Amino acid sequence: MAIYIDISRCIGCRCCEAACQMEHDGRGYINMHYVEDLAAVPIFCHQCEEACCITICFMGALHKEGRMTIFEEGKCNGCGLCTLACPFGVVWADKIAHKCDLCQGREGGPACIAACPAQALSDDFDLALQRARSCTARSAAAPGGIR
Amino acid sequence: MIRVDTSRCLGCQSCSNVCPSKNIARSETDGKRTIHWIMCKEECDLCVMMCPTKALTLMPWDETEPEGEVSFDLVACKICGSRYGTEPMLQRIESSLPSVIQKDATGLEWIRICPVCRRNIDAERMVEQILPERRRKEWRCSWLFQAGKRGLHPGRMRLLYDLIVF
Repeated sequence: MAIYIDISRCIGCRCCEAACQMEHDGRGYINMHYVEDLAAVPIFCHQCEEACCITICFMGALHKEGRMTIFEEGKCNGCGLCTLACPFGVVWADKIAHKCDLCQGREGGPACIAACPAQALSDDFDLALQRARSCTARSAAAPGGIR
Repeated sequence: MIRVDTSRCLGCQSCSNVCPSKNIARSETDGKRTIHWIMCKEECDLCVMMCPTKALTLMPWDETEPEGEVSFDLVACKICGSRYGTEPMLQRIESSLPSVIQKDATGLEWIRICPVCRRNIDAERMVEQILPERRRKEWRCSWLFQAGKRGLHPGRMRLLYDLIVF
């Protein structure tokens, strides 16, 4: 499972950030970025298929479980290599590393998806695909065609 | 006591993190990270076990041995210039990752960029597709707004705009 985002829906309200911090006792794993005051995009763990953080971790604290990248707190000794090895900069470290765990143990899926008022986040691949398709179709049908 | 092989140390501070008696002091001041091993009589080898490069060895107690200390200049980010990691750590990452993914599609060497700038770049890349349309919409809105302020008929100005742009 991974979280997908429809950027054209995101209104930049930072609800996902707040929900993530509430869920993880003040440490958020989502960062909201604004580009030119025109677009907002939340940045979070991509749950990479071949994750660099797993390759670099010498303690074996990170491993793949299905499509998720699982982090085990007990094995981490806080070297911070995974923080530097993540191509997207979404692994944090203070004393020990912490990253998005897709709200394991929370009823009703990740908190950010439940909190998003614009339904920009989803964990449904088919829905994300369908939205991307219809977005392309809409822009093709608009005057001027695809630009 | 602990002996340090300074040439192998990465400066990752995992020994300092796991030490139960806080005998490994670390400090980070103006772009320099210093790790200091205080004389330690304990018979514990947690830091030796946890060291990723096996730079530490457990030695019998010796008064004459000097206290170990290493200091690293932190590497500055290529974009923002903030200091974020030690050179040996980055070299370790470069050596253990396949060379194909060390450069992304635009030829950017992301390992030499700090995590904050990596997030910024990722965000810019994701909005690349919707940004032109948003810019156009904003321009249209501001054009109509300016026209309205000058007392021009907004409906006609809108028609004019759509004729020019599309």
